[in-house]
Amino acid sequence: MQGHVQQVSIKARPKPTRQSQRTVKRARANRRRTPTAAVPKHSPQVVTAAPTQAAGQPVVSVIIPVMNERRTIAKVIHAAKKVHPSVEVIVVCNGTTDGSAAIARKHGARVITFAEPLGHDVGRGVGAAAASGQALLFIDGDMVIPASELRPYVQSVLHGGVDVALNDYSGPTNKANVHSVVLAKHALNMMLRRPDLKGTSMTAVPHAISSSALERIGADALAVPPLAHARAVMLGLTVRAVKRVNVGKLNLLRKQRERTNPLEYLIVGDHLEAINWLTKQTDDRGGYPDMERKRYLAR
Amino acid sequence: MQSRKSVRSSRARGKSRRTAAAGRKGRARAAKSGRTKMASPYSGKLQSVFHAGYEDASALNKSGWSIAQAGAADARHRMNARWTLRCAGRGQSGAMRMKLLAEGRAYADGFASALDLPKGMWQPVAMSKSAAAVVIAVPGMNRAAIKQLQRLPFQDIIVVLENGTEGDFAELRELPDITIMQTGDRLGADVGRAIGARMTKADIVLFADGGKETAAEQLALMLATAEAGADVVMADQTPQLGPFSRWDDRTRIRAFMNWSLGKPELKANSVELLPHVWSRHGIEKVGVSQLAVPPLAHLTAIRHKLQLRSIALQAGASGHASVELSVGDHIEALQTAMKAEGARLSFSDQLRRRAITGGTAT
Repeated sequence: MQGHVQQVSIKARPKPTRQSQRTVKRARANRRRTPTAAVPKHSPQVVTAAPTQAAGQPVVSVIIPVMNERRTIAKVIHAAKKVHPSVEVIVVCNGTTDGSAAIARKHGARVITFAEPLGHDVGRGVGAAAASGQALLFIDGDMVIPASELRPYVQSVLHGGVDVALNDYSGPTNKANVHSVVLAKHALNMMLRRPDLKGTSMTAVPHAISSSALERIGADALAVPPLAHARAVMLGLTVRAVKRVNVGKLNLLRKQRERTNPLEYLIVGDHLEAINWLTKQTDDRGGYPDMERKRYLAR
Repeated sequence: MQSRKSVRSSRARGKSRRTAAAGRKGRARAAKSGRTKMASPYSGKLQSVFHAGYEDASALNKSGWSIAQAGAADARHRMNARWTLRCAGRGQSGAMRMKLLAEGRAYADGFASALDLPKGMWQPVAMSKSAAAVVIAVPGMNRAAIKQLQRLPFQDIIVVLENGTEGDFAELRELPDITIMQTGDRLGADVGRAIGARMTKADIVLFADGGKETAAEQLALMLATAEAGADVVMADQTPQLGPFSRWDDRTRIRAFMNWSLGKPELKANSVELLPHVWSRHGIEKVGVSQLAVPPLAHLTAIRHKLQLRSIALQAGASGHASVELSVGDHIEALQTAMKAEGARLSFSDQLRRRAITGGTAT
């Protein structure tokens, strides 16, 4: 894990866009106050608008990947700040053109900006790499969930002995034709010998993980949530569905905005990638027995 | 085909004008003589088909053929051949295939009636291709399941008796016209399918569960679909599944694999389940040995773009495999696909700048 990254990096940014220029200005102003730490190679600009805990590190880091969510981001940040007395809110803006970053900064979040879109869920990994809390809570910038609904995830990690606290939401399954993503989540959990997890997954928000879980799973894996999920289970971490938030309902609004099909394929592909990883860790059968099948007799 | 049919039926008519007349006046004659077997239990179109069957069998009797010498299996074979000729050119659509199966039963009843056999014995299927059945009988088999198969036009019924007891074997021996493959050892799940498949060169091979009775009428539609050109005919279990929340684990994994392979329309149907049918072309494309790991054969069938069809079965489909075995088989199949097509199969990452997190998550 990296330490508390409160540094600023303004080097090697080719052709800053208007958005990132603004960030740079802020960053320069910030540098005067904040001592610069060692900068990782790919580190983007980090801006701390409001210091979290004056002394020591925050207990909870809330990570919010954001593209263009100006309508909701302020409310989401406010809810995030209330999940724990000691909290840092990290907003990872990527490809943002609607001023979400400025709004986030104004509302006291640490903002990490990238001029271009990073791709689905990469922001989670970036945010996690910059986080310093003992518990990391992942939510979306376009989905306002009250703090009271978010606290159980954080509490399970901080005090409940849970490494990965999932949203106990398996999607609409009371019908014959379920969405492919729901199907994929159920299938992956079963292959991981965790059918009890049903359709819950690190793919869905909200969920929280411990900093030690992050260390073991790897921040890079968070960019492919089903892969992170598979790693968590296979590493023997305590993965548990702790609280239900019906994100399906909240997602309905989103569906109208996004064309859902490409995303559907992306997420199913992510699950296949996780299954592929599973076979690399075990064998071609995912560690499942062949039950004394005498294959040579079939040849 | 059409011309052969007309030649054959006109000859039949010529030779047995009296019998044909008797068929037409069957009811009246039967009432007078007290014999009821010629009376058609059908009406309308089915009645005329019944009489056609009666005529054909009567002509056969006249030709010197005798059921006492030839046996019931030969009678069924001849009956089905005649029915096939009569159906030439029909049976293109699914609805017509269903209709022909119903007509076939009337025909078979008429045919049986002229041979003093009880009705309901046979379910003919108009087939120009040859068909065989491979029955997987692990201990706990049900003879009624095999008896249903004997009502169908199979040239051979191969029963793979895996690790059966003496009692199982004796019970099977009482059934006529079947080939029994008794294996002393356990073969392991589904290996018997490959072993049984090697025993036949038939154009169409039905794989059946020896422990579960499925009505011949239902299996007949699977054969007719294969006859019409399908390479793989599976049982469509979708109607029995209900909502997803009630699906079992294996069903979910099958559906996931179909979806991942770009065949969502197959739902949770798979050759993992019995009964199902393979064409010779399909078996050759996939390779007999793959039949021992059904999800692998399923994958290969899809990737070879074989014609896969699903047909609703009232009795549903069954699988012997344990959950563990089934999950492992499907992972193995997916892994096989991934080796050829990449970890994400056809579902690319699109834009995702993974390196930005400093790692190489793959």
